[in-house]
Amino acid sequence: MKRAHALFGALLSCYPAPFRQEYGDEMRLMFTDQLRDARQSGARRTEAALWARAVLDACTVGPKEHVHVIVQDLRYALVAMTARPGFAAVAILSLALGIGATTAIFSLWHQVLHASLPEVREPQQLVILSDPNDSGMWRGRSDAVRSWLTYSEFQSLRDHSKGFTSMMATQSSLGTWQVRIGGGDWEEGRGRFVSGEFFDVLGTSAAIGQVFTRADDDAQRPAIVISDHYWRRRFGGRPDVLGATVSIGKTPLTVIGVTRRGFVGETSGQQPDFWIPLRLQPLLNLGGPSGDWLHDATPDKIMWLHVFGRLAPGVTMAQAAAEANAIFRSDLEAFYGTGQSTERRREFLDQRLDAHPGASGASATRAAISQSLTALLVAVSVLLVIACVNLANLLLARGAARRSEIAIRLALGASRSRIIRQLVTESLTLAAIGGFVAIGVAAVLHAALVRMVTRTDARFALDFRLDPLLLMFVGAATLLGGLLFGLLPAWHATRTSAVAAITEQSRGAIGVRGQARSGRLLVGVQLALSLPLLVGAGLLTRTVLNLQNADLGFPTRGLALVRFDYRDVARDSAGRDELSRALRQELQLIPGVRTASFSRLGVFSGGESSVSIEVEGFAPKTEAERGSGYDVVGPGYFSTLGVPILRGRDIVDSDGPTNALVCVVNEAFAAKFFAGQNPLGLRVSSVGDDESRTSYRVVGVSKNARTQGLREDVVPRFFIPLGQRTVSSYSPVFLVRSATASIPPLAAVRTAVERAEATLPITLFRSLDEQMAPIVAQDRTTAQLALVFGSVALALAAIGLYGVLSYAVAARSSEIAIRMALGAQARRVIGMILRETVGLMAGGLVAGGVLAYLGSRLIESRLYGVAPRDPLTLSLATGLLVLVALAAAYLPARRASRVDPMLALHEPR
Amino acid sequence: MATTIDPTPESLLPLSGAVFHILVALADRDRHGYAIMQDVSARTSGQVQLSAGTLYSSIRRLLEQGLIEELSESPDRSSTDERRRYYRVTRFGRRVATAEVARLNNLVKQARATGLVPGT
Repeated sequence: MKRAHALFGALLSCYPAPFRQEYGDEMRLMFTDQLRDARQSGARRTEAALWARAVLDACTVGPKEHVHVIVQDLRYALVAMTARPGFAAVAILSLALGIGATTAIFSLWHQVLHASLPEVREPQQLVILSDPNDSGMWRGRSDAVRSWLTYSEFQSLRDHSKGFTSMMATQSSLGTWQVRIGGGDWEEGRGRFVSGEFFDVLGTSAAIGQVFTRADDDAQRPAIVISDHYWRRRFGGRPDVLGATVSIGKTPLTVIGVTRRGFVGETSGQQPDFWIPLRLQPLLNLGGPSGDWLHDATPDKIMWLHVFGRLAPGVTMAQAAAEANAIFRSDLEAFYGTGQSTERRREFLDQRLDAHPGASGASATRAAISQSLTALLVAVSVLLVIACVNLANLLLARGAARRSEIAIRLALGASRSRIIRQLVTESLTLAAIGGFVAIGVAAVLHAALVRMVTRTDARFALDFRLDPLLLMFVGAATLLGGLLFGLLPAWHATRTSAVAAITEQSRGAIGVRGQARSGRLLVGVQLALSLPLLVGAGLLTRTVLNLQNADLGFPTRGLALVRFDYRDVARDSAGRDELSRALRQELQLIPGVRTASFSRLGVFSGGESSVSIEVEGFAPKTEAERGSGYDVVGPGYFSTLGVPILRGRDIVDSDGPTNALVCVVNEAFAAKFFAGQNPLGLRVSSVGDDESRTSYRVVGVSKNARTQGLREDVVPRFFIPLGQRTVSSYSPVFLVRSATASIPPLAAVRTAVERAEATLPITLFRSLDEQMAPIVAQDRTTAQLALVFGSVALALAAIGLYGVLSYAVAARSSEIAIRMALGAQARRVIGMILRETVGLMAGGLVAGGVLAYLGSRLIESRLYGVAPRDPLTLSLATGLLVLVALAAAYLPARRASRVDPMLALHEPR
Repeated sequence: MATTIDPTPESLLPLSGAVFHILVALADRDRHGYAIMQDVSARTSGQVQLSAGTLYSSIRRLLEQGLIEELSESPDRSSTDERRRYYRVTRFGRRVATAEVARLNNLVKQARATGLVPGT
């Protein structure tokens, strides 16, 4: 019988504790009676049936009773919430904002850094053989790991690789064209050239019509596949879109299909409008009259493609990559031939492909914003913790109001765990409502964050996706938040003596002291978490100010950047150079313009060009010392830019194709290659891939100028006059320097241009400030968000401190009254409270300082002109926190000093 | 001042089998839990066996709804076991049970009217 009792006792544990407490004894008694009767009857079947019913009850009635208790708790929680609507509203709002902000940033962080490409079949089987974090084009030669591949390299891999079942190539950057739908107006459209198996490799099909196939690599049909997004936006989602004409430049293309909703292709964070067959690239003149990017011309390769492959069954990425590299090397050997020196040949063949998992696709922004996003995610999570701690403090302070109610319930037999469960259910209910609202908040904040990123990268686009992972994240944040702010106050609220609470002898009662201690601990935690946020905000703000005030080496105001579209200009290379000179002359005639010039690289254009060189009197020791950056510029380039010439002269009009070859070098170049020597008159030779040399005499040394990047050191560069080096058919970037701080109006520029060449399209016209804005935009956005987080954290810490001190003062009113009755001055009472505040802060600030020290490493790479452990920033942040904390403490302190001793000592509490 | 509306007997119908049997068992006298179980078993010739979990879960619900009440002392003065708690049906409980009987009668009447079961 004892064993039977023990077994039944184990079954009873399936019921909730309150039910067991209420009916457990009777149930045991009844079961004992039934078991005894069954055994006395001698029928084993009866006893077995009794046990079966007991087990069935435990499995069915037990869970139902649990649900009943939970429903009871929920009802109680809702009643408690409606009884305190103000607090409920504050809690729900705080949690909705905190959880919503955290969810929005988590969603962005996950989608950019980790999420698989949408609408792609088995993305984990994809491998990318180019650099997924890079986009663009490079003509010439590359070394070490390849960023992009050429069309012929892709064809060779596609035709010979066995490690992949299929392969595709896609333009690495998102192209922008002037397009026209039917006979409509010209507008901007964004798209990519892709190979025939693009959609097949990604494992997606058309929602309407068809997509490209392998046959499109060879076929002649001028087809285009549009995205669902573009179809809805520009075609109104009409079902008869197939057969519509989309003209890109002069080339009409027929719409053959619409992709599935949500499909963005192989690059995360971008939404193309359309995809075009790769073989149409020369036809659409992407690279100008000589812009055939499908065929390399020895020794130059045109590298511009991402190449993806889908792994064959049973083949690992490493195996497929090894095979791909073997094919790639064989191609290189065939391309470069055998007619060079051994050393040169070794340089040519020093290239390889690195394979990367392709599940997340390529991304133009991933590398740029990943660290900022991670730092923001940490910061907003800390803010959520601070908000929850603040709510816990509020609940603690309010715990005193409910002590009598709880004490009575305890006295009537309610268990402590039952009441804690009920109180925590209240917190979780508030958190659940807050979490539900947070989803809407997250969607709004997500859109705002995406808009901020587009200030850095105009092509960035990402929709808010409420997928299972995000729902789990919201659920987890809600649960943790509810427990974080509910558990401690619930535990404290039940640590009360019924007699003490009911007879209101709470002065110095353990429960009150314990609550005050917990309150101080929570405020200490808030201060400790607020300080790193403030320090981070301070460091990032100083970074932005440093970037904005960075000395570029030339004045930024009054400089316009202009670029034209030379693609349809019917001139040869010399003719286009003449056009550039003529345009310069016309631009200089605009009223208000002081001078104009041009540069192939442009200013902050995101490009770069470099070449192998030999420098007179310089013996290179490393590979890096054999190369330099260079630019091809027009006459008066340095005077237009405003960069001082330190020695010699600027490029002038007479530096043309028929005159002696000259160049100007910058300070960095002179320091690296001519250390100690006067470089004027010495020679710099560029070395072609065919080992031919072109020698330039140095005629000037310019001051260093930051024309390509703000953060990096100025690279050594030499500047060659237009006409003395063959350039591409692209228009250079024209620099127009005004006499005033404003740039000339566009209309004036257009009039000037038309005098040189009628109907020459202007593809770029902006001030240098506008050109540079995206470079600082990301840092500015991150700093702004950090400031918001830091300010909110500071406000919450101040509110928490005010609440704790107000409560402490109220609890000690008798003590303060006695002090004042014995002659203590108001000033001394205020001083006593403020001194205690400093003591309270000390622990929090020390912990906060350690966290700030460690946390600053998270943003180290984003800082500019300020060290991560900058003592000034740490001191300012600490001083601000102390000041705000003392201000928050002053009001309760002043209230304490105005306590009327007679009233305080006689007032019931 | 808030106005509470007492539930009507009809609002609690239909009663589950276990609940109805408990009310029937308490209709003629006050009983403790085991006695309720024995009475139900005897009246149904052993076809309905209330297990402890089902019985006390139903008793909890009946107490909350005010259909039964717990007695403060045992009506059986000879009983020495203080662990046994006795229950009594309330006036409201009787009204609810009566309403349930009327509902069941109505169902039987309909079944007879359609010829599903022979009428008397």
